[in-house]
Amino acid sequence: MQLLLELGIASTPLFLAALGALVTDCSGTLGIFLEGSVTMGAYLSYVLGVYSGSSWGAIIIPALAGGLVGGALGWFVTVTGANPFVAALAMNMLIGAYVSHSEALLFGSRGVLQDSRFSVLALVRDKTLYTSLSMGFALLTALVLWYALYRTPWGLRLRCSGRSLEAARLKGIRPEGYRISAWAIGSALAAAAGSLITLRLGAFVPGSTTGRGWIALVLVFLGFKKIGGVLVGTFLFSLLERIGFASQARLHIPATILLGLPFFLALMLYTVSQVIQRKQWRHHDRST
Amino acid sequence: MSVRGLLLSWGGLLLITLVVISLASPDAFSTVRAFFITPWSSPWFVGNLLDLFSLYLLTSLGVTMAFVGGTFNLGGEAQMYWGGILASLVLLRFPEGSSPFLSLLLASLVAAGIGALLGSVSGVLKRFYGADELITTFLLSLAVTPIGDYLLSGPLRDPAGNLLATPRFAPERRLPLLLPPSSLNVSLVIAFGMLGIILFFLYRTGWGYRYRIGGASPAFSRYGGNDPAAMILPSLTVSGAFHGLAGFCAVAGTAGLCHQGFSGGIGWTAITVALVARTIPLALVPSALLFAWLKTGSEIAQLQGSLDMDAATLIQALVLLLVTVQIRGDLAERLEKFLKGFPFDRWKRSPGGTTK
Repeated sequence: MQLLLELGIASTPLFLAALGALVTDCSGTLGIFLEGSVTMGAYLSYVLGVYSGSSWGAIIIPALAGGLVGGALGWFVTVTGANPFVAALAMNMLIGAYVSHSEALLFGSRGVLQDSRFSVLALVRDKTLYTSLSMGFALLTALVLWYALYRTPWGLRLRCSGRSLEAARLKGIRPEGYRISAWAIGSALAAAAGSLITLRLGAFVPGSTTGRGWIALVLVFLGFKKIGGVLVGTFLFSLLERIGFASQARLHIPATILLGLPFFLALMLYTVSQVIQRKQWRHHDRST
Repeated sequence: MSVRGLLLSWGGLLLITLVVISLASPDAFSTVRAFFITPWSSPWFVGNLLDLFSLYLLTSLGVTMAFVGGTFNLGGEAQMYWGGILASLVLLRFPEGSSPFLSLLLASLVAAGIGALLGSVSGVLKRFYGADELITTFLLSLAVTPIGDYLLSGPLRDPAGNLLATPRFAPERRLPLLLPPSSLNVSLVIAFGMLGIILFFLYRTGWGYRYRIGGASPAFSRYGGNDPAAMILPSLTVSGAFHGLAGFCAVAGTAGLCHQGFSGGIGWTAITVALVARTIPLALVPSALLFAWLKTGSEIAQLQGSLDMDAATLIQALVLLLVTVQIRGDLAERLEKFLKGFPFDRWKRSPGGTTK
């Protein structure tokens, strides 16, 4: 039971980010900007926690800022016709440069940030409160998202825009607007995931968010683009990651090498999901 | 892609640089001088700048080969890193007394080979399982980089030194310097040689033609009886090989040893260089030179204390954000009118790849 709870806590931020990736995927694009959003959320959470002294501020404002940045990027890509992948890579780079510069400016150092003003926040001090709030929030978000995507006209139009821009336009839908809203929601969820990571650690650790946005993208494929599947996929990923770390002592694997384990696992799981999907398509082709 | 498009990209890059400097620096005038003039003020600075240029040219050639073949390689950092690590292993362990040329040749082949292998993994996954190479190249890069870090901090580390690095290579097993005491070396010749090979392949061979068409217009390629998907694996493999070769040049030429994180940022800069050059191989030369100039200038400005940030990264990010923007509507018409008087069309490439 304890293990399940620990796995749940560890996988909650990743699940939120993966939900963000799923919404973005529904709009027909790969959410490469999620990596930057997670980093931004993690950093802003620390800054707001230190300066406002409020746990709520350390979650809500980074999520709103993430939504704003994601929406702005979507709008920029729509208006200028810029390549969405390249623009998203640029956004990740910009956020990295901003965080590094801002760290030096506000705290006088770059790298891990720890402050007593942050450690006293209710969500940092009280692990039970953190656990119940973060898991509850993630599950509630999943439910709301499921309803919005599969039970509302907005969700139907968003999925339609993602599958075929031309078909959506023929039906009188403006797909660009749906893409912008999906990017905003995806980025907000990723930023919330970043802030949960910082609150759990009680410090801003730049390396703790590295690659999380990319893993979130993989989890969407691993869950076969279904909310339930993403939940199971995230749990499976966290379990395998934990087994890998636990085997460190037994197999005498150097700690440095294990830093690459989550990404190796993500690559393996992504490949497996693609192989399964290919087989399903072939089976479907034969039967039709 | 027209020459005016390229000039707009490069002009935009310079404009962004000036704006960032004037906003970020308390003494904009001295920063601009440090940025633009100082890198050309002594043979030492010029040599180092050209050395960086050769690395940018090699890696951006790799990115361009992926783009032209219709793929995207985000794993350049690790491919370069591993190229350097394995090249170091060859240069350190090759039997003593054997030909230095042979050891360098073998090291370069091994470096290109490991880069190609890492690239081909993503190629196979995309070609046969439809796995998105944006995801696989990047994840593979993140997965293998820590293994390289471990090797350089453990088994390959020089026990006598304080750095997380291999021992220095024997002087005869380093690429000859061209402008001592700067780090400019034969890598520059290698980079231009590779550029020549790529230009010949792409614009003077049937294979190159099919490669370009497969990447640019898969439907047209299919109509012509070719299989555009067949270009996926070669494009990612060749792209990886160029990054691996750049790793060899960085350790055997620039540093004379392999230290942890030596490839830091070069792979990412290469993507920007290639995009600013609009993936035209010949345009990589001025583009890589501009970025090498920018990076050297940024470091000088930081050393002089006139800039307290890594402006090069910020500028690079802004350029990357703007480089694929399509100017449309009224602004496009006005720009077209403004540029009409310039004789750009003389250099414009015809669809067949030859110049008018």
